[in-house]
Amino acid sequence: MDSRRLAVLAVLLGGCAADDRVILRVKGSDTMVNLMVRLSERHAHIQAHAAVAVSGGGTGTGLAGLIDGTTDMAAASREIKPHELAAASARGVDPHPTVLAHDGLAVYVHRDNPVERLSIADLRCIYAEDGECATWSSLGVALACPGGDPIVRLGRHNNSGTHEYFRSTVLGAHGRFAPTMEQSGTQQVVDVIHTAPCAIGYGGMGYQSDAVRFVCVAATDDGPCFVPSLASVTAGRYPFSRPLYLYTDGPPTGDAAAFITWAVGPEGQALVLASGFVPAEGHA
Amino acid sequence: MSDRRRGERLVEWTIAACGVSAIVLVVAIFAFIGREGLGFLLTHGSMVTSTSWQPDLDPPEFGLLALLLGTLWVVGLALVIAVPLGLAAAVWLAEFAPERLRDPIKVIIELLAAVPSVVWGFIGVMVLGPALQAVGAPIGLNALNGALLLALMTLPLIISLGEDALRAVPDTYRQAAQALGATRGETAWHVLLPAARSGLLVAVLLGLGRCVGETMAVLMATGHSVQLPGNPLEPVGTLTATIAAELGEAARGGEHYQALFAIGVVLFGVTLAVDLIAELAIRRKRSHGERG
Repeated sequence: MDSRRLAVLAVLLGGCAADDRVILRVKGSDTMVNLMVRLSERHAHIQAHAAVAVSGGGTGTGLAGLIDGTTDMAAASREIKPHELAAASARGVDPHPTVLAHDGLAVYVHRDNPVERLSIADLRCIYAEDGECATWSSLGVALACPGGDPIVRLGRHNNSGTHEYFRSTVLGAHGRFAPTMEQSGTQQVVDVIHTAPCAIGYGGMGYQSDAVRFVCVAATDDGPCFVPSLASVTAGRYPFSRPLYLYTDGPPTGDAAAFITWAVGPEGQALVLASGFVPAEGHA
Repeated sequence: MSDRRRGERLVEWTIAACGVSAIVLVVAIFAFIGREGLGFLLTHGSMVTSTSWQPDLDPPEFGLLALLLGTLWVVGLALVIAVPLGLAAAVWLAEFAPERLRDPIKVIIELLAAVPSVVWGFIGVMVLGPALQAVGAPIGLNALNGALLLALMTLPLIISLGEDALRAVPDTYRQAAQALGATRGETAWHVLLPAARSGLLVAVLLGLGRCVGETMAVLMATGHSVQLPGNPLEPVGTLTATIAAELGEAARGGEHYQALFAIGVVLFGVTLAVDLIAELAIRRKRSHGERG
C-alpha cells in the first residue's frame, strides 16, 4: 500500500517540471499495480508532460471508477461483467478493453511444502465450501506444521479480479468459497505463506520469491501439469492463463492513446516481461 | 448592558454551542449510517441470521452472523484475559502497592493506552504471530492473536478505572473489616471488590465497548477469514475488519456498499447497548450510595 502511494507521489513529483502537464489516472487491479507503477515511472521519462497516476483497490474499483468518471483508465485482471456494462451504458460510458499483458494465475505454497502437483479438482476440494480437503494428508502430502497439517487457505479480497477469476475457473461461476484468509494483494498472500508452512494461496505469477514456490497445476487429474512461465502461458498450456486489460471510455484517444500504444509497444512489453508477466500477443 | 455582561453572555453562548454541537454530531453520525444502511438492514432481515458473506457471488449473499459471532468471539476471549488481569492489577495498585511505586506504575500503564492501534497490529503480525506458531498454532494470525492485542489495549482502561473505583470505597469499610480480624487479602476479596462492584463493572463494560469497535489491530492480527468461530487458534473475520477491508472497494451506493453500512448499524447497536448498560450501572451505583 505504502509503496504504491509513494510511487504515485514519485510520479506526480517527477512530472512537476512542466506546468501544463496532464495527469492520466489509472486505477484498478492490485495484481497489476506494480506493473502499472513501473510503466508510469518509465513513461514519465519519455513523455514528461503526461504523468500517469496509479492506484489499486481491485478490478471492481477500477471499473467502477471508469464508469463514475473518477479514473481515465481502469486496470482489470478480468473482463468487464454484464451488470457493469449495463451500469456503464446507463451513464453513457463505453468501456473499451486493450490487452496489456497475459498473466498466469499462480498457486503458491511454502518452499518446504513437498506437494508436487495439484489438479483443478484438488484445488476445488481445498477451496470450495463443500470441499473435503482440510488437511495436507488428505491430498497424500506429508507435511508437518504446528498443530498438525491443516491446509491454511489464503485468497484475495472479494473485489479482486483475481478472486473472481479463481472462483469462476476453480469453483464455477456460482461456487462458494470455504473460509479463506482474505488478503489485499498477492504480495500479502506470499508474505503470509512465507511465515506459515501449511498455507496455500493464489495470485499473479509475478510474485515468486525464495520463500515460496509455484505449484504445478494440471487441468485434469491424470493430465500433465505446468508451472506458470513465459512459455507455458504463451502456449496456452498453463490452465490459469488470463489477459490483463486496460479499459478506457471508448477507444483510447489523445494522451491515453499515446500511453497505451507505448505500453503495448516493445518498450512497454519489455517492462511487462520484467514485472513477471507475459507480454501481449506479438511481443513474446 | 456593560461590557462585562456582554462578555459573560458570549462565553455562555459559546459553551452552549459546543454542547449542542456534540449532540448534533452524534445525531448526524447516526443519521448518516442509518440512511445508507438501516433501510438495507430492514429489507434484508435475513442478513442477521445468515452466515454466508459472499458479496461477489451472483446473486450476492450478505449474511453477517459469522462476522457478528467473530467479533463476539475475539472480544470474549480478550475479556477472559483482560478482566482477571486488569482487576488483579487494580486491586494491587489500590491496596497493596507501595505508595512511592504507585504513581510511576500508573503513568506507565496510561502510556500503554497511548500506543496507536496500528502499532498493536504490527506487533501482532511481527511478534505475536510467530510466537503463537512456535507454541503450536498452524497460523499465527488468528482469533487468539487479536484477543491478546485487544486485552493489552483494554488493560490500561480496566486498571485505571478499576483502581479509581476501589480507592473510592470509604476507609471505614477497611477499618471495619480489620476490626473483625480480616487480613488485607480477605478485606480486598470479601469487602472491597463487592463494595466497588458497580464501578468495576463500568470499567469492564467500557473496556468491552473499546474492544468491539477496535478495527486496525484486529484486521491485521486475526487473519480476516469469515467463518464461524470454533478454535481460538483459527483465523476469524470481524464486523469492523470487514468494513475496513471492503468499504474502499465497494461501488458507492451499490448493494455491497449498503450492506457494509448495515454492518455499521449493527456495530453501532452493539456498542450503544454496551454503553447503555454501563450508564445504568453508573446510575445504580449512585442510587445505592456507593461513592466515586
